[in-house]
Amino acid sequence: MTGFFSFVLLTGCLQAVPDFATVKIKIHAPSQQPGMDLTRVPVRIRSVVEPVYYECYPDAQGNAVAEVSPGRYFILVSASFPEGFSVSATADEFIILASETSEFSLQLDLALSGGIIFRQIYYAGSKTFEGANYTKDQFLELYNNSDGIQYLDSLCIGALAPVNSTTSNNPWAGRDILGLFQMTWMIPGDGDDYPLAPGESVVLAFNAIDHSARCTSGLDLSKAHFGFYDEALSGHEKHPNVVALKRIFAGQGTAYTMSVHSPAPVIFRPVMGVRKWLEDVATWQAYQPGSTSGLIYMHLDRSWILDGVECVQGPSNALKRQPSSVDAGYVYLREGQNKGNAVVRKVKEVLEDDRIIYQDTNNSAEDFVSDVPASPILKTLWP
Amino acid sequence: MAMRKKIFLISAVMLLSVFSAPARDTTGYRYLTDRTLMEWENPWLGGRSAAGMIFTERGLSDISLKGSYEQGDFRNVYDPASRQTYGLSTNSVMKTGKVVVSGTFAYDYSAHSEQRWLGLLDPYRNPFMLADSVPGNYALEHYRMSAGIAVPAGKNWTWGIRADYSAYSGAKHRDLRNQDTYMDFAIIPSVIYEQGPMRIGVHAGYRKITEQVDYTQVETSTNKTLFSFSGMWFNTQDIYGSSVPDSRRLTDHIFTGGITWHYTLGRFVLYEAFTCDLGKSLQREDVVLSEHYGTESDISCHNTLSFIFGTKHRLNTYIAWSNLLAYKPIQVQELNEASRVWEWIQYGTTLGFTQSISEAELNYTFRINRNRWNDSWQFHAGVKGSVFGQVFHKYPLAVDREWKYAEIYVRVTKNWLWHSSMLDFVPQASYGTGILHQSGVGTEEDSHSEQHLVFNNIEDNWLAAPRDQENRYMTDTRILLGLQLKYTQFVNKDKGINAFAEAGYRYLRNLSGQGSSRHSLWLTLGITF
Repeated sequence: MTGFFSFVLLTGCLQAVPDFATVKIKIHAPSQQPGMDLTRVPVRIRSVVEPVYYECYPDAQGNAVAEVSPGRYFILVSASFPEGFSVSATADEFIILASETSEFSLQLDLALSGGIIFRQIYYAGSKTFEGANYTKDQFLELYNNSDGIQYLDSLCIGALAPVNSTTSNNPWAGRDILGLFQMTWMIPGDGDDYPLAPGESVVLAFNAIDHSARCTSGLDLSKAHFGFYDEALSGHEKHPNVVALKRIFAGQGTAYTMSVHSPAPVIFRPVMGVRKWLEDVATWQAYQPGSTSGLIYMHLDRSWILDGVECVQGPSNALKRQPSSVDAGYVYLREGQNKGNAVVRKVKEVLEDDRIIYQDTNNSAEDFVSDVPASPILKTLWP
Repeated sequence: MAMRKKIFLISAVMLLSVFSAPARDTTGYRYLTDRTLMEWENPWLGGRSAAGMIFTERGLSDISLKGSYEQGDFRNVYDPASRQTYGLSTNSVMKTGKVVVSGTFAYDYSAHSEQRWLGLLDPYRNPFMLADSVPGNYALEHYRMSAGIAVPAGKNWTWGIRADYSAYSGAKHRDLRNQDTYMDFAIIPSVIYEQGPMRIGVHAGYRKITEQVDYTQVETSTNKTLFSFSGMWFNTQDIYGSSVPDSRRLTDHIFTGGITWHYTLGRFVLYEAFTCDLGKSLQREDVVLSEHYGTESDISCHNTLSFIFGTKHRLNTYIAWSNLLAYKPIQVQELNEASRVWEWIQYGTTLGFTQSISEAELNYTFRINRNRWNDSWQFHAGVKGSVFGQVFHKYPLAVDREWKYAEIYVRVTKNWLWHSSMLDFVPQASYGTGILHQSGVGTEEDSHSEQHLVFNNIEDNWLAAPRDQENRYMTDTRILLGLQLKYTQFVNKDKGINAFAEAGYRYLRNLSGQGSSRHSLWLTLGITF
């Protein structure tokens, strides 16, 4: 009796009211493609902390609206077109609360598909036969995805800072000038020493030796095409026949490694040439934005980047470092580190001459498969 | 160490209350060996109002040792494959002059095998939970203490207060290994007014629960996945490592209050106790400037209504209802310009999960008495039902599931009484069945804007295997058969000192085609006085 009346009174005390917020996005076509069909460009509002995203398509004028659960998001817009180009744009992380409306105006960047791309990134390492973690067998593999010869001479290699995607914030977020973590490297040559034919690839090993007797990945990188090697770095090993990459920015430390769970590697060419870029210390070598002390970082302009991949630890630790024009998404290893697994680009098509064209939409979430046993192509290219 | 010291101090105070009572007149009580008959005489003993102990005619104390073992495949996803428990307990209700005091102390040690997914000791208390999927051995210690007192204040008034303290310490012995430290403290004052055949009392109190869970690993050659659940097996997964948050601290503040009344008309007694709990909890990382993992509000109410006629008939009804709303924090780590320290700043919350439970039970007990404190036969039968609903919210998605469960049960007690001993033979049986309703996750499309909510990988983000096991356990048709034997030796009839040995066995069988079962048996040795 008492209970019955009390239940009636108290049932309404806690009422669940699902809440939502509104995100309005206006996207603008790139100046080079003013008449492009914007209704084919998906807009993804991706949660920072949860493994979900909202997807919607704009109208012909580029207007899209989504009702989302309140939370932390960033916006990724990317699409590739059969005409051989892709477009992308991003909005940095934002918070939106219940009943609020946030509006974004995004200018699409145009990028041409093709050229030199990352085919495979092996960063997570493996194990020694005694069970300890082993990361000296890391490597990068570059591929010529175009129809013409690409010369690798003076191609620069690095990884964007912050070094890990698990860092709480990115001081370079939203900037055109980006920081490079630790050291910066370059492929040597006089301009035509290292031609790469269509469909060929090169392997850049962090320690270009035979690892097969040391670790479970079984990789023999003594036949890699290039090695991250400098005599001043005591922590590196290289087979004598492997060409050493040139360390063009010293950074810190006695060895160069990639983050084992979330690197953001890039290949790039400074538009003014490497020598002038390095000489202009006042412009390109600086502390991180907002700091007046600490580490000095080498910087680059995002427009110089030929390819980059956003490797993150997981969807809940997915700090973006790559500009959306380079990589609008991210990729991660579901099985974690030290499994001997790599992220490898998806095959888009195989031509009649057996040449493979890899998918390159500048969105690694779409372009890469993860947790693939590392397997570099070590074909001899140059005598 | 601090926790153990606290436990021993509180134990000492409570044991003092147990054993400080003087010897009592035991006339007519020589056959009384458990509290159920005392609660027939004074139903207030089963409620939360300590002042209601004042209506107890005599007291009863017991000390016992217990061992139990259960094993079998018909188990909830959070249950171990087998569980051994050893324990010591002592309980007492004593009347000293006009004052009635009570005290309890109990200690249990449980060894579990193949324990997994158990990130919180009660996973239905809060949807936000860290957990791991690797089955392993688990050890759980449990201390429980309580003390109460009822003091008359004038002709019509009685004041009372009770304090309850419970502490668990659990540890899994296989990576990912978690350590769980749980503390539950409650203090509830109460007052009763008595006028003629009418007694009415109110109680109000405060309860605090803290639970600290820490995950770690010893063996580092393999990667282990740490799951962060948001309710109904929706989760994010991280490979355990130094950058993955691995500690949670859950703090509950619960305010409780209720009303109890008792009316006597000749041999007819009407008793009703109603209680509501209002709780708020916060789950956060156990560090300074911590990241939050969820807040929760809940309300639960339950009501017991008993119709008692003499010493032979009792009809009990019980209804309960609870509602829980869980909110995810919207927060970001920001640099405090003054201190140059990164702090988590919470900007708001969003509803992530809701849970509601409704329960009802009706049972009837019939006794054939030799006297007030001894029955030659006792028949007890009842029916109960529950509706347990959960909803995971991610706008515009609302995934819900509901377990409806109903059970009928019967228990018969036959007592044989001899000159210096007696034997209770207690067969029991129950039959239960349930219905599951569960919605799925499609690509949620909002007709307004033609938007889609997409999970990165729904197979990982919403775990199917543990969810299905839990659904089956909650709704499968089952039968339970049990038998309990209790032998009591009257050690000293004048002083009412009895020694007893109780053994029991239960067999639970799944009848829904799974063919699984679970066995449990136990042995208790003790004395009552």
